[in-house]
Amino acid sequence: MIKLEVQNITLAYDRNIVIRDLTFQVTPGEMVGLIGPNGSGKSTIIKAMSRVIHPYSGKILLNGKNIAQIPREELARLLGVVPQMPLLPSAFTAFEIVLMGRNPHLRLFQYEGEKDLNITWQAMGQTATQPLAERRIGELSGGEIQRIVIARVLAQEPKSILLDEPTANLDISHQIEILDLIKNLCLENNLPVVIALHDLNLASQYCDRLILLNNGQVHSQGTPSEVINPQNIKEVYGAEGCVYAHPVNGLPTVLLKAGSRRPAKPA
Amino acid sequence: MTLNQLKPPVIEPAVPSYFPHWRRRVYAIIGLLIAAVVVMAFATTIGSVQVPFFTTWRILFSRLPFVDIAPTWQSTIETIILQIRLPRVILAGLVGAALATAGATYQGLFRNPLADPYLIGAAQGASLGAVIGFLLPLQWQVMGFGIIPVLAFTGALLSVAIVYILARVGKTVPVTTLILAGVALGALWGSIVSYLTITSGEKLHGIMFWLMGSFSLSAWPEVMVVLPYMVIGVVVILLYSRSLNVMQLDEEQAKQLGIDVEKVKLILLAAATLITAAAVSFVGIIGFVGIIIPHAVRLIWGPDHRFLLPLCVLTGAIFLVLADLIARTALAPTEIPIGVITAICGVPFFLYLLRRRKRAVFF
Amino acid sequence: MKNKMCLVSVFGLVSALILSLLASCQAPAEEVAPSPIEVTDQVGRVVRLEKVPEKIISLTPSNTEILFALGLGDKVVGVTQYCNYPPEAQDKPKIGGFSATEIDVSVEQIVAIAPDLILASETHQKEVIPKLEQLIPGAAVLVLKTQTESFDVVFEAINLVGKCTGTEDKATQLVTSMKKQIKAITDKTDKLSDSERPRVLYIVWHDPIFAIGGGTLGNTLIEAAGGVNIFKEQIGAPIVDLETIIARNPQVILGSAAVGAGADLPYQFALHEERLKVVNARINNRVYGVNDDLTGRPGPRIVEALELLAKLIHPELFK
Repeated sequence: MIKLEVQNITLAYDRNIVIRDLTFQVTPGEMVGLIGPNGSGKSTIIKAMSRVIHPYSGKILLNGKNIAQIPREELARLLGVVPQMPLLPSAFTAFEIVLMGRNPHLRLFQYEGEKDLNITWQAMGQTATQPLAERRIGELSGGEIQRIVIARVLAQEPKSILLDEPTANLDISHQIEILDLIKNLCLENNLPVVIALHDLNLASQYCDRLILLNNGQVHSQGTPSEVINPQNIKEVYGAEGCVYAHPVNGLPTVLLKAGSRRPAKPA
Repeated sequence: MTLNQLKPPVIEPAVPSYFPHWRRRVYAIIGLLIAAVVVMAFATTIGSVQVPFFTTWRILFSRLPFVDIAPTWQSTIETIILQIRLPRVILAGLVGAALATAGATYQGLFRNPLADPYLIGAAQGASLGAVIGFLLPLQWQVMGFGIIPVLAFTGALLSVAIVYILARVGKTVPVTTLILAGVALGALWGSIVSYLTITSGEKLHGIMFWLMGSFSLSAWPEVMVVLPYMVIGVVVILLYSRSLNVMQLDEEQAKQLGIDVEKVKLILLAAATLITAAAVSFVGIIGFVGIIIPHAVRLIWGPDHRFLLPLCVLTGAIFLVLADLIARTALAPTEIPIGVITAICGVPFFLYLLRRRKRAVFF
Repeated sequence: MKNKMCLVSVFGLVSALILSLLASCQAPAEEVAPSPIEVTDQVGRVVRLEKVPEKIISLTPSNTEILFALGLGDKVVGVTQYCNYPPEAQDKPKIGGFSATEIDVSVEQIVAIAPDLILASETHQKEVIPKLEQLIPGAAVLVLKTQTESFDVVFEAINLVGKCTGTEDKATQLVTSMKKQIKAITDKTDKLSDSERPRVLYIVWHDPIFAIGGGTLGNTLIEAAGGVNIFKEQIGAPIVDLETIIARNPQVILGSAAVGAGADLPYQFALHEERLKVVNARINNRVYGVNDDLTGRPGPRIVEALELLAKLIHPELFK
């Protein structure tokens, strides 16, 4: 059971500040969604939280401990990341890639054993990628690759998960399948999950809390109903009159209509 | 929404049939190990001087402990077999193994199919050291060797070290910067070598032959010196094979999976460069082995470094022993520089690889 | 009237002509050859000189030695950096190096010197000679063979140089004396049977091992000195491997040992290489250092070379 905390971080690439003074927390069993327009910094936050880039200022804490001080191996056991556009070597098979997820649990010179193989196979089962096991990455589609990376994170058995646009290349059935899986893991194993999504409807359906980003700052934070409302959508995305209630569960749903975009107000 | 509605169906876990996959490769390693020993023994029986087949075997066996065979051969034949051919064959095996393994390691580290052990300047540094050794009017002996191997070894290591330091950006050493710095510095050393070679006068022949690579004067002292470097370097590389697998993902993902990327890079670079330097300092620059063998092994047995690396060790050894066999017997008693033989084998292989681009076989 | 004046003027002109011809015929110098000189050099080129050359350049060490042996040292105005014999040659201006390419022969310098005669070798034909002929049309280029195995070619070369420089007498003298000294040795060695000829190995480099093979001056010297070259079937200076040397078991090993630091590495190798200790020459301590300058230059010193080799190979015949 671990808790993720982001305290007053400012993220920048060279001189360009992408995120300014961001603070939020994620508790175990909670799925938090990062939403916002393109370039609002969602991926950057994920990268900072997975220690790929360092915050210009501020701290990121995992159970109270600064992630910069946690040795990488240990961090990999605690935190699993599904990156946005993962580059995979095309000559390896899907199984071998998913098996790499076991790396944090193996000592430096130790090789995978039967337990690791089983866990890998199970992870592939959960992501419906078992039929792809012997296929080479170079032959697979973007969606299949995405599911394999998610399987890898499952094989990693982390205590928290970060996902950067995990459903971008997937068709509808796979989108639901994967997000159902993630949500299930989140609830059953009490994992904190942070997921960056650009699809507002998926965010609304699956996330317990949403953080809407705009221009490097938090525009609004709260439950989907609180965050996805006509005024926020208009202010951030410049689209008017798009928010409706889902006919089955009443959660906010964005339906597009041609010609509904007004130029966004300058911040 | 209840929990049950969310739960996707879980497929019953069944142990995947991966073990035979691995077992095949382990058998391949054992098979090649035996093949390597056999090939080296046979290579000892063939040479520019005709020695009866069984005489060679008797001489070889007579050196084993607890075996007592009365010598029925002349001492000159024994010298040929035990002091000239055997160390030469073993050195060829060691050098082939070193270059192939270093090549596979470099290809894995740089994630580039064109990488070879000389990518970041080891060969050019060694050449520069050797040429300086040729031109210095000194007669020093270091451990019984002239200054040329020592300077070549130092040149190779120094060159790569300089490239590594130059390529550092903060705490990281980005792979593309390494390549650029290596190519640039290699070109610099190469041009100095060219200049020194042209103005070397009567030493020209000696230098050209060193640069082309040759096993012609291999003897036991060389084998004894190269062996420890080889063993240490190869063992270190083999230990990191699984990490090298994970590093085939981009560096971001490797870090997220717990690999200390910069440390692994440094250790593997150092080990691969060490064995390359040891190989070329006595033998000269032998090309193509470091690039063909890893690709050939990958084509047959796949990119998993846990098998790729040991298979490269063995395949590289067998390849170079056979190449050297051709080099010293095709035009006996004249020797063809071994670089020529490996190039003759290498070029058609490259063309073949180019035509096979349809399947993603590299990375 | 007109006819008479014509006759007188014609007669006057003709006598003037005859007188001037007679006057010019009286060339007083002792060694001046009848000009112009025309010879065919050793690669079949026809070489013409209008008069005896005063400024001579040599592009090979052997040609330099020939020039000095014919007493033409004063006229030599350019040599290569490897022309080290006789010692006076080392003081001459250097116009070239080792190889026969443009990099190593300073054509500019040669043009600046403006020689009358240039002694070249057949290796210069491709690049250097065409350039020289183009830039210094007034100079004659005499090509003498440096890659030769025959003593006769050397004699011919000396004679040719004599002819071109007006020193024919000296040349003939030199050749006669050389032939005599050589004969003194070959008279004894020609009579030797095959079994009386020791197997000889001559190495000029050690890594890789370059041996003197057949078709070379070195080979001819070895044979004339009463030995048999173990690599005489290989033409030129082949690379050989240690195995074959051990198998052929030479009884005498000659290793290059020119003057200068590190220049005797082949000799040192032959003397100290562990694996050669099983070879006859090492067992009987018959490994000798030999100056390549003597055995490799087709010039007047082949006599010295032959005498040296004869003493080394057949000490019992030549003291």
